[in-house]
Amino acid sequence: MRLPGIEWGKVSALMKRDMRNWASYKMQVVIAILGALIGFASWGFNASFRNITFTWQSFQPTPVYTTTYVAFLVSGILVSNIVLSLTSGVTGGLRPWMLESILMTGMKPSTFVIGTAAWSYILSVVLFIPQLMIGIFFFQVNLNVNLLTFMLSVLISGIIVFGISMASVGIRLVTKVTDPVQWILGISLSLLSGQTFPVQYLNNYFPGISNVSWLLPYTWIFDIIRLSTLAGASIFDPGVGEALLISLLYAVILVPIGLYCFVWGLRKAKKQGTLGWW
Amino acid sequence: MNTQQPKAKPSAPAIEVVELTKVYSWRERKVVPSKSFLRMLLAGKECETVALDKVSFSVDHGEVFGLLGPNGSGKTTLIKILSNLVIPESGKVVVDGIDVLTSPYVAAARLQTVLSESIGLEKRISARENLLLFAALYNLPKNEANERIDKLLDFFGLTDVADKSSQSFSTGMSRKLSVARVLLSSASVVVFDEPTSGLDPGAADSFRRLILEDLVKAEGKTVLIATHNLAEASFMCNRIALLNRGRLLAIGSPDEVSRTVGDRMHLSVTLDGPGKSLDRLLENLRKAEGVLLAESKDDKGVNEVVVTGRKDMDYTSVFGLISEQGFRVVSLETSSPTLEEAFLRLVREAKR
Repeated sequence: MRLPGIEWGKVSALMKRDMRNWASYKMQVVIAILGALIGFASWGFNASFRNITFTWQSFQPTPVYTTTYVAFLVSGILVSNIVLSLTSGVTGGLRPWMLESILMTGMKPSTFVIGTAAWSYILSVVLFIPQLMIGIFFFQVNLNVNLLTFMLSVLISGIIVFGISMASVGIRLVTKVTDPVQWILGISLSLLSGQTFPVQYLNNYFPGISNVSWLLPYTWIFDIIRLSTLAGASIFDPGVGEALLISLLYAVILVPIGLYCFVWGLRKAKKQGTLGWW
Repeated sequence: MNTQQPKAKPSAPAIEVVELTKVYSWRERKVVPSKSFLRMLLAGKECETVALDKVSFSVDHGEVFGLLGPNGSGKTTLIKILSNLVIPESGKVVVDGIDVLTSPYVAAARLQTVLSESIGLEKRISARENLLLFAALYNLPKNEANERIDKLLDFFGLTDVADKSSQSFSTGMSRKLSVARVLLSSASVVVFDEPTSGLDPGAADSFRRLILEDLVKAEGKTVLIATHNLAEASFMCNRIALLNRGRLLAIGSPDEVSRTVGDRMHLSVTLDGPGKSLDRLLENLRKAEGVLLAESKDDKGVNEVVVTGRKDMDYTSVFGLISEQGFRVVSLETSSPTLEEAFLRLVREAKR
């Protein structure tokens, strides 16, 4: 299977379309901004209420770091809001009434997926800035950022989520309403991947379950981003390098799988003649 | 409007469809009163519908080709296969020498479609923004895109509303915008599914002229239209293909297709005089050799009888019967079957 190139001009055109569409609903703009800030603040209050200091034990041999729960939680929510918005952005951006006319222009699958998710992603990055400010100045989150590790972590995380998004869209083209990929990963995100609590905590209830968590790509995304933002870990640290490599391996595996799922879903919908049906 | 120079005619046909077959599988869901939710969920059986059955034809460059057929005949399926939106079971579709099924991205640059069921526009953004979006998707450089968009908006009379949300557009305006979208591309083949459905007679007429005069004559494009408007097909198309239940029943110019029922002729006779009984006359005419149909039209006291018979029949007997009943022939006219008659007859025969 050939991995087609991404046509950035088309990605930009789709992103502008979504931005104009989004901005045309004035109330949506206000509610989205308020909702993000209020939602984030409520998580922050929750975390500061139980503000404890603990040591995060990553999957060995990645290094451990000591942080407060509020910093741990805030970083987890930020990761969810930025990186993981790609998945919901793609599926939410599928427009049945436009799908056929867009695909008729001869757009490649990767361009379509990135273009459909681009605005949602940019929006979450824009909303991330005030959230970060609230985290730092209001909840006293102490950040210890290693910029290179952070940028690499975001890049690798983006590729992982891109692969998952393509799989999700492929399945959504067939099932129309929902898809099991997003559902399973959504559940695993909040339950097993360490978004709001350390995965080791689950071992108190189900001994050894945290080993399952380390099989999930989202756990690695949370881990590498926390390492780079809370522990200031360098990529030259052998443990961090290994965590990044494992994450990269997930990315390398998930992108072709995602592309395969997308092409499969597109082909199946075309075979069924239901591409524009919803 | 001439946004492109007409191209020289290449040797390959503009469209070539070979032995195209499409079968849709679907689940028949009967409403089964049942207390078991599971049984209700699983009720039904797998069914198949043959949408296209080994359809073959070709369309020449610069031609206006019509696909005719009743609802469910396979026209839209055929168009969607040409546009790479539906994958067939078997067969081949070639546009400008490019196989649509094996090289879809290249073929997309050669053929663009205006579908009837979806206008394919973003309603929340303006007409200009919609066109800018598609110009980028068609890889048009920015300067050229702006120039062409201005020309197209002007041509379609949309300049004044170019920056207005397309949500507020009438059906006619939306349709014009969706054609402008397609004309942004450099596709040499343009396909319309029910081009004038939902348009008022005036708008429909302008739209037909736009296709013939601007797309075909000025731009040298090949046009394929799917319609069940027979008058439209007769007026616009060089050739038509008649589809029914996925099978190709006839192909040729509208006259040629009409002549597929050309073993018939209509004789319209206006009668006068103190005739005995028009009903008796009709009864006798129907019994006459070679007469297939005899009907009367009473138009404001003028008796007109229309006799449909075999082309080679001897009409002397008809006049004999008219005279026998005490009528005089005031005027008479002969005519060949229309495309509509051919359509209805071919579809009726295919059902048997």
